[in-house]
Amino acid sequence: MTAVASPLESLIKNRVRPWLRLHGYEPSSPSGFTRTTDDAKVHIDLQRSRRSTSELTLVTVNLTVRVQSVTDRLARNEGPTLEWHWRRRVEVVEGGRASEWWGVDDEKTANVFFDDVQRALDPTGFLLLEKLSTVPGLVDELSHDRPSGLTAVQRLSVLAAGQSIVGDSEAVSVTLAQLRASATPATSEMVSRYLANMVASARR
Amino acid sequence: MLDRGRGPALRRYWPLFIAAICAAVGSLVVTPDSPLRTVTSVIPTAGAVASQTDTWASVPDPGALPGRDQDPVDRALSVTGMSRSVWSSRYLPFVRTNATDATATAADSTPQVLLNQAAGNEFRDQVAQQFTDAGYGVTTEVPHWTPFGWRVTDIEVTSPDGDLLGGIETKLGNSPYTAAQQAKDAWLAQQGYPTSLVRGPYGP
Repeated sequence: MTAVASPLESLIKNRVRPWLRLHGYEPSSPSGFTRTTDDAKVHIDLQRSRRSTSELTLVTVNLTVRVQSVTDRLARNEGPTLEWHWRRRVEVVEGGRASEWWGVDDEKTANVFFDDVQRALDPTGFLLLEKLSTVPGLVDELSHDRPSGLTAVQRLSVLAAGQSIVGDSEAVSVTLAQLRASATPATSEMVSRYLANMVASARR
Repeated sequence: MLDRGRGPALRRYWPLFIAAICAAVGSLVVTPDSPLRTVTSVIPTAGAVASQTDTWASVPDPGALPGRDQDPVDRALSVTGMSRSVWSSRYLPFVRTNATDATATAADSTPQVLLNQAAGNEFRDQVAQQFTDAGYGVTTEVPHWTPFGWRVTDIEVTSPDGDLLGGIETKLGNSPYTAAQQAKDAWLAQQGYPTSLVRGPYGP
């Protein structure tokens, strides 16, 4: 006996997958899609809520970017271990209120969800993700006061790694000073080690 | 250029802020269960303790909370102009239904584990709502990779400046903060992502 696909599963199969494939994102899990470039992996993941029921699926869309050269630089200098270097959720503002979860219980609500996500990503979101999948683009984004899904310690660590990759030693110094000031008791040991290693590798 | 405004001060006073939020809720208890941070304890009000007769009853009545003369759903609806059914089907995680009504109809037929889960969700939304009311950004059910497995953070809080401050784990009653969760949170804290525990009133 074949199980009947849920409205969300049907949507993923019939609309989301072909649409994301057009933009270079290949399925990497039942509800995840990945675009791989020379130096980065960009994920678009449809996350089901723990509050979903058999009748209603609550779903949100996570966008994450991981730049391999930044990962390598952080690891080499014993910085924080991060699964991604930038993260956001797709958000829709309606009636003055931002929402990042959708309820999908039939074809109609599934289409509303898809239309909202498509509007958010195409083309603005895709362009931003493309920018973030390069080290200079990531550095530019993290240098500004924009949400990155990273805490201060994480953001400054990633930023310093990126700046050192692009060879901006002056900016690295400023960022490391800020990182030192942002360290918390839980991170002071890791931050101290990372700072020492970054300074030592800059001297080499 | 990289000045983060009030960010460092907010990070420093993060535990105090959580305590203030809990004080605003009135009957929540912040417990220093985790060795990760120092959190100020807020003693539950006598009324809140006395009103606990079961797990559901331990969820404070939204109408009884300070400054809450109207259900948040109704308040949101009055802003958006949407009907309750539209709001509920599309944005359910933000909807705080009337716990008393739900209990009355569900208690007889619903397994206790589901009632506990629903009460936990209700409590989480209550805490999230307090942050939202205070001008903070909240994101719910945020997955984080750890070497010990994925950790889904109940609430992630962003300051009004856009700084990601960290995660909040909400626990209601005797719900355990398990060793596995603590191990994951400890690891995340070392990577610069702090998690604080907010515990609701204990059952009878």
